[in-house]
Amino acid sequence: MNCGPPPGQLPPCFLNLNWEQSMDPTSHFESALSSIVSSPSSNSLATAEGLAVNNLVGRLGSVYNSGEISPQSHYMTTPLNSPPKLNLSMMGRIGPHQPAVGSLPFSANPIPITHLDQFSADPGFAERAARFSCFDGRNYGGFAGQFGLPEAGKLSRASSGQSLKAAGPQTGLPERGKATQTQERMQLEAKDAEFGNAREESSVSDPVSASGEVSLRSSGENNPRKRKAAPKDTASPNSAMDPPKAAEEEDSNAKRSRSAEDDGTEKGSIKPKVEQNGSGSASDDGGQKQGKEDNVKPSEPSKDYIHVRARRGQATDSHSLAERVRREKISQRMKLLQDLVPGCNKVTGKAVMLDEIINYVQSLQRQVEFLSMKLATVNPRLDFNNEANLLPKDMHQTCGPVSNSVYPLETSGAALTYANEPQQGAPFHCVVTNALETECMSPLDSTLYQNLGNRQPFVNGFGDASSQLGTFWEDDLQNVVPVDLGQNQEIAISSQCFHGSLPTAHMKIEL
Amino acid sequence: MQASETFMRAFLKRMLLGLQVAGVSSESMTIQERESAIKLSADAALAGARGSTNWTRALIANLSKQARSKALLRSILGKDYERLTKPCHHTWKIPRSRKILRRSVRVCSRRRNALRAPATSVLARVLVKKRTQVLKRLIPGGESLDGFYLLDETLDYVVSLRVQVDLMQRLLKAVEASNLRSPNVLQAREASSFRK
Repeated sequence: MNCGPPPGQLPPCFLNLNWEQSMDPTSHFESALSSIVSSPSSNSLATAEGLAVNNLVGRLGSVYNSGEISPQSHYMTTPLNSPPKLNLSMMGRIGPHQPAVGSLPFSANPIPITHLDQFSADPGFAERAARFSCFDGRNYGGFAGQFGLPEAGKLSRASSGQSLKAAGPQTGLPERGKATQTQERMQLEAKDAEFGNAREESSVSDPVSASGEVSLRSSGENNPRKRKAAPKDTASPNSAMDPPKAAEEEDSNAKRSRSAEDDGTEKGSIKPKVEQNGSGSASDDGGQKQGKEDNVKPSEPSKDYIHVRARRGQATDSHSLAERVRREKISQRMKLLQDLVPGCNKVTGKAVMLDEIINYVQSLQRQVEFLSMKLATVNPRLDFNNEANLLPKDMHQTCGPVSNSVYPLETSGAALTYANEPQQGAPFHCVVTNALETECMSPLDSTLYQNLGNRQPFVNGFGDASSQLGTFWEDDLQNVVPVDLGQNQEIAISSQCFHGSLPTAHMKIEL
Repeated sequence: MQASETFMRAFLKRMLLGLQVAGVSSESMTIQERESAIKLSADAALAGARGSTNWTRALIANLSKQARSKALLRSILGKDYERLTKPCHHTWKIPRSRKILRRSVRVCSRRRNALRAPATSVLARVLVKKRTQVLKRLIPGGESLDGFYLLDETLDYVVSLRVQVDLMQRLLKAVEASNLRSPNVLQAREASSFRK
C-alpha cells in the first residue's frame, strides 16, 4: 500500500494535505489527544507519554490496518508517518510500541519535527505543532479552541520548582494549604497558546516534569511570535490564594485593592526562565506592551504554576517579577494580620506592624500563663473528674466518676427529670451537654455550674446555672441539635457503661 | 473571628481531659506543678484541636521534650499524637532553600546597596529583620520559616491563641462562680485537708 510520498518529502505534502482536509480524518487523533490532555494529572512523564503513545499508536494501527477509508487513507498514512517517527525517537523512553506501526516506512527522517523529538509530549502534538508552524498568522484561536487543549506549561523546571517550593510550605496550613496549593499550581500562561503556538500545545504533559530542553526550544521558537503578540498578565497570584481566604477574612477583598487592579485576568504567570532562555529582549518587548487584555482562556483547571503579569512601566525580568509576587503575598498577609491584631488599623509600614504583632503575641502568651496559674490556685477546690463529664463528647469519662456519689445528677436545659437520672448507669453526660451542645460555651458553662454546685438541691443548682448563664453568656439554650457521638471515638478511653446510655441520650435529645 | 465552634469544643474537650488525667484536683501537687500541668494540657489541647500545622508540631515537639509530659500528651492527643509528631517533609526542604535564599539575598543586597544607599530603606530593612527574628522566637517552630510563611503561621497562631485565652478565661470564671456558689464545699474540703 502506498504509504504516501517518500519520507523525505513527507512533511510539506503531508502538512498541506492535512491542512486541506478537514479535521475529521484526524478526529481520532483529537479523541486520543483529548484523552491524553485530560490525563496530564499524572505526574510522571513516562506514564503520560506511554499512555499517549499507546493510545495513538493503537488507534493509528487500527486505522491503518483497517484500510477501509480508501480515499482518506492517502492522507491518513501521512499523519501516521509522523507519529511513528516520533515513536522511534522516543523509543528509548517508551519501549516497544513499534510493532503496531512497524510496517510503516519510517526511518529517521530529517523532518522539521525532529526537533520535537525531545518533547515529552504526545507525538500527535508534535505533528500538530509541525503543522501549525507552517501556518503562521492564521486563526490559532480556532485551533486552540477546537482541540480544547489545556494551556500547556512550558516553563522550565526552575520556575516550577519555585512555585512548588512556594506551595510546599503552605501545606503546613491545613485549612488553607490544600486549596492554595491546588490553586497555586495553576497552569502556565495561556497567551501564547491562544495565539496558536504549537509549542505550548505540544507540551501538554505535566509542566512540573517538563524538561528544560522543551522550554528551551519552545521559548526559542516562540519568541518571534511572542514579540508580535503576547501581552503579559498582570501579577495576580493573590487571586489564586484569595478564594480560600476570602471565607476567612471579610475584608480581604476590599483590602486587596492593589492586587485587584492587577486582575486584568485571573491568571498570571511567572516566566523567569522562559525569557531568560529565549532572548531576554523578547520578553521585554512583550512586557512593555502592558495589556491587561483578557485573552486568557478562562478557567483552565489549576496546574502547577503561579501566573504573574508584569505591570505597566515596571521591570519585567524574572527576579523582579518573582519578588513582586512575594511582596504582594506578604503585604496581603500583613493586611490580614492587621485585622487580627487590635489597634493596628492605622498603622502602616512593615516594621511597626511587626512590632504590634510581636507585642500582641507576647501578651497572649503571657495571658495564657497567667490564666493557668490562676486555674492552678483555684483548682484544689474542684473535682475535675466530674468536670470532665461535662464535656459534650466525653461520654466515656463519666463512667469513671460514677462511683463519685457527690454529683449524682445533672440536668439538661431541655428540662429533663432529675428523678430519672439516678436510675441510669451513666447519667451525667448524656442529657445535659448533648442538649446544650449547640453553643460551645454555654453548655459547658451551664454544666460546669451545675456540676460544681451540685451539692445544693438540684433545682436550685439548675436555677443558678441558668441565671448565671444569663449573666455570663448571652447564648441561648433553646436550640437542640443532635450530638455527633462519633467524636467520642477520638479519645482512647472507652468504657462500656455508657453504651447503654447512648440510646437514652438520643431519646432525650429528641425531647 | 476565624475560630470555629468545633475548634473551641475540641479544645475544651482536650483540655478538660488533660486536666483530669494530670490529676490537678488532687491535693498532692504543689501550685507550680499544677500550673505547669495546666499549661501543658492547655497547650496540648490547643495543638490537638488545631490539627496539623507547622506551629502545632513544633509546640508538641517542645512539650514532649520532657519525658514526664509525654504520657499526658499522648492521652490528650489520642491518635493524633503519632500524626503530629512524625516529621513532615516540607519542613526539611526549607533549610536547604534558606541557604540559597540567603546567598541570593546577600548578592542582591550588595547589588542594591551599591546602586543606591538611602539610609532610610536600609534602616527600615534592619528593623524589619530584627523584628522578624523576635517573631521567629516567639512562634513555635518559627525559626525555620521564611518571611512569608512566618506571617502565615503567625496568623494561625494568633487566632488559636485568642481562642485558648478566651476559653481558659471562661473556664476560670465557671470554676470561680461555682466556688462562690458553694462555699461550704470549699470549707468542707479544706477542713478535710486540714485533718489530713
